[in-house]
Parts: sequence; structure tokens; C-alpha cells
Amino acid sequence: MNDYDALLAALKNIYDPELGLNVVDLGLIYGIEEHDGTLHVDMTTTVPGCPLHESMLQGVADSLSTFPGVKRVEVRLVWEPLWTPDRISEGGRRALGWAA
Amino acid sequence: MSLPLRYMVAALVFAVLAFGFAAAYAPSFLEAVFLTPHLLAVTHLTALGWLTMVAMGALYQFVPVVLDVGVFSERLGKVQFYAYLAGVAGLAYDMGAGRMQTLAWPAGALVLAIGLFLYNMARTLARVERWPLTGWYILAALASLGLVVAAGFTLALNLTLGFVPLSQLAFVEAHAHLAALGWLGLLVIGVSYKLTPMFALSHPFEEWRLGRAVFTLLTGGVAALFTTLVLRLGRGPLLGCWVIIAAGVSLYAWDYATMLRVRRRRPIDLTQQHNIAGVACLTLATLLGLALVLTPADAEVHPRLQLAYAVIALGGWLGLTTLGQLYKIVPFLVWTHRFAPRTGKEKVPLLKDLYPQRLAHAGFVALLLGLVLAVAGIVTGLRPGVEAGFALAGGGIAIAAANLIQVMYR
Repeated sequence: MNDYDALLAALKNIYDPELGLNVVDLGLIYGIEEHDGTLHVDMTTTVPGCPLHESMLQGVADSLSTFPGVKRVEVRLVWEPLWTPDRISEGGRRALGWAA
Repeated sequence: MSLPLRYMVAALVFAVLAFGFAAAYAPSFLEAVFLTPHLLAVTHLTALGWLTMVAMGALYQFVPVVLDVGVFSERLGKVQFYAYLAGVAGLAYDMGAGRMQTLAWPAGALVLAIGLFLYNMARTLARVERWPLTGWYILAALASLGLVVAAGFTLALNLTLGFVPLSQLAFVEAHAHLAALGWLGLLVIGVSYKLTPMFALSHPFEEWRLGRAVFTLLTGGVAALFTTLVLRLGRGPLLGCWVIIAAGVSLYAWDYATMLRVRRRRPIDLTQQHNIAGVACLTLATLLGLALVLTPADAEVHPRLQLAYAVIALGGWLGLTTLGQLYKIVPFLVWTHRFAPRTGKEKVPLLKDLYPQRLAHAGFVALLLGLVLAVAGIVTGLRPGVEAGFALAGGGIAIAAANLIQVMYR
């Protein structure tokens, strides 16, 4: 089993290239579970129909596939619950110039 | 090169040409005679070469994303691109050279190209299952484009055959307004309802709250304006049309300001700077449109106000807005093609890293100042102001074109 924080740390290198924030600080990662060598990731985008969703999903899969013991990464795009800016981390809010 | 990108590159080249010719032909613009070949050439280079090319390329990119449906035929899109390119170049050349008798040939190529585009879009949209607000705007814009082309081709044929017993000038005015407000305007406004909240993180923004009223007022206003102008129904109905359009524009401007006010991404980026200036120009153009209805047609200032109105609407509102969107679309297309496959494996640049921001900002300022100078020159009748204004605006466009085209070589 891989350490959850280590997986999240790896995902901090996957950026939304438009907003300039990584997918973790943006609050796009809803959950990661590991079963029998397969990582199941639930993630979302800031809006349905985000044109960058394919590349971000692929980036997440590629990034996690390098972890030891991981044979497969399944990334699921989910809309429940719908993303809101409240999910952005403190650091992310500061980067966006948005005082909480 | 992807299909949307072809359109963007061609559009940027035509935009530079349009402003170059505008600067060169500036003296003839102030002669207060409309439908001069030079003015027609510049207008069509702007509306068809620059703005419509961006609009078509953007739709090939945007429709699959927003309406969750694949484009019916990319191959058809490529065929259409070359027919359209030939049509615009031929039309601008014939108009610039004053060869109005041969205008029907390039106009025919344009009709064919736009017909293919509309067919491609119709087959694409027929498969859409869920229609967001932006989808309705796209549909209304495409319907307007069909009418614009039909009216434009009728005009071109009528120049040689003279078979339509209507005022040529009235027909031109109706055709131009349907193109600017119906085709390009509805598209730009509809797209902004999707892209502005998305880029600015204006959550939660309820697009239907005022969006439905804006859509109804603008589509109704445009249809009524076209009919009123073609049939020359007089000043009363014309004023009524403009009041409806002004109400739609006011509500949209309010909605746009709301999107910006509630945004969580606080810095105003380059695209939003273009859009803010664009919405300001839309408001100004609407006020001028109203003023023109109330100004006697034989007043000395009337033709100059008409020209200023056209420059503010086409170059200011539609030009600035589309250019601002190009700063999103072009880097996005290049990034998706070149850098997306490397995401998660190595460090990749952000979209804004793909072009020098300061240079882009300098281009925006030059374009904006150039437009202000040109409009001031037109209104006051000062030729050097018009020449310098269009030259400065052309410089701004050239910077943007060079900046965006170099993105493709990253």
C-alpha cells in the first residue's frame, strides 16, 4: 500500500495549465483508493465541459503509475458533489488573489 | 496543424491586412460616401477574413467541448477552409480594385464555403442532447449567418443583374447589422456566458437568471432590426428595435459585470482586459446606434458617426473580444497537442508561459489606443488622426499576430 500523502504530493505536480494551480490545491481530487495493485482516483474539474479534463486525467494517471506496486490507475471523472471554489486550499486561494 | 488553428492563423493575417488597408485608405473614408470599394474591402477583410474566420475556427473547437458532441466531419471542415480562404481573398481583391462586376465569383466561393460550414454544424448540432444557454446562442448565430450569406450573395448578384426592387443601401445596412449583431454578436455573447465564469472562477453564476432575457431581447431585436432596415419601415420602428437591443445589451453588460464581481480568480488577465474593453465598446456602439436613429440623416456629422459606429462595433467590440479569446484558444490548442502528453511525466509550461505577457499587453494597449485615435479622427474629420490611429491599431494587431503565431513553434 502506498502512503496517501505521498500520492497527493505526486499529484501536486499536475497543474491546471490555465489557472496555474495544481489539482490537489484546486480541490479536484475527491479520493484515492488502492486495491490489489490498482489505484482508483475520483476527481472532478472546475466546470463540466472543461476542455482540459482529458489531459489532466491522463496526467494524474501517468503520475501515479510510477508508484511501487501500482499495476493500473483508474481515474474516474465525477460531478457529485459539484466542485465549488470552497474546495480550494488556503495556498491556492492566496495564489488566486482570493482572500477567504 | 489542427482545423481550428488553421482558421486562427488565417484570421490573424487578415486582421493585419485589414488594419493596414484601413490606414492606407483612411483619406477615402472621410469623403462621407459609403459603399466605396476601399471601405467595402476593409469591412469584408475585417468581418469575413478576421472575425468570421476566428468564429468558425472557435466553433470547431468549442462545440464539441460545450455541447458534448463530435464535429460531424473534420474533412469537410478542411475543404471548407480552402474554399473560404479563396473567397475572402478574391472578394477583398475585387472590392479593393473596384471590380464590382466580377464580385459574384468570390461571393459564390464564400456561399459554397459557408454552406458547407452550416451543413457541417447542422449535422453536428442535430446530435446534441442537452442544450445549455450558450448552445442556444450558437444556434441563433448560425441561423443569422445563413441569412447574412443569403443577403450578401443576393446583393452581389443584384449589382450586376439588378433583380431585387429594394434599396441597395437598405439591403447593405440590414446585411451588415445581421452579420455584426446576429452572427458575430450573438456568438461572442453566448460564448462569454460559458468562458467568463470558467476562466474567472465566478462560481456560482446562474447563467439562465438574466441570460434568458438577454437572449430573447437580442435575438428578437436583431430579427426586428433586419426586417425594419430591409423594408425601410421608418424611424419609429427603427427606434423601437434599438430600444429592445439596448435593453438586451444593458442586461448583458450587467451580467458580465456580475461575473467579474463574484470571481475568485482576482487578477484580471489579458483575455479579460480585452473583454472588458470589448463590452465597453459594445455599450458605446449601442448608444451610438440609438443616437444615429435620432440624428437627421442629412446632418453633417451623420456619416462620420456612422463610420465611428462601425469601427467601434467591428474593431472595438468584436475585434477586441475575439482577439482576447485567441490568447486563450491558440495557447490551449498548442499546449494540448505538444505538452499534454508530457503532463505527469515532466514539468510542463502553463498556458500563459507560451507567449511573452508584456509584449501581448503592449499589443493590446496599441490596438486600444489606435482605435480611440482613429474614432476621434473620424468624428472630428481629422485625417492624420484616422491614419495614425489605424496604423497604431494595425501595429497592435501585428504584435498580437506575431505573438500568437510564435506560440505554434514552442
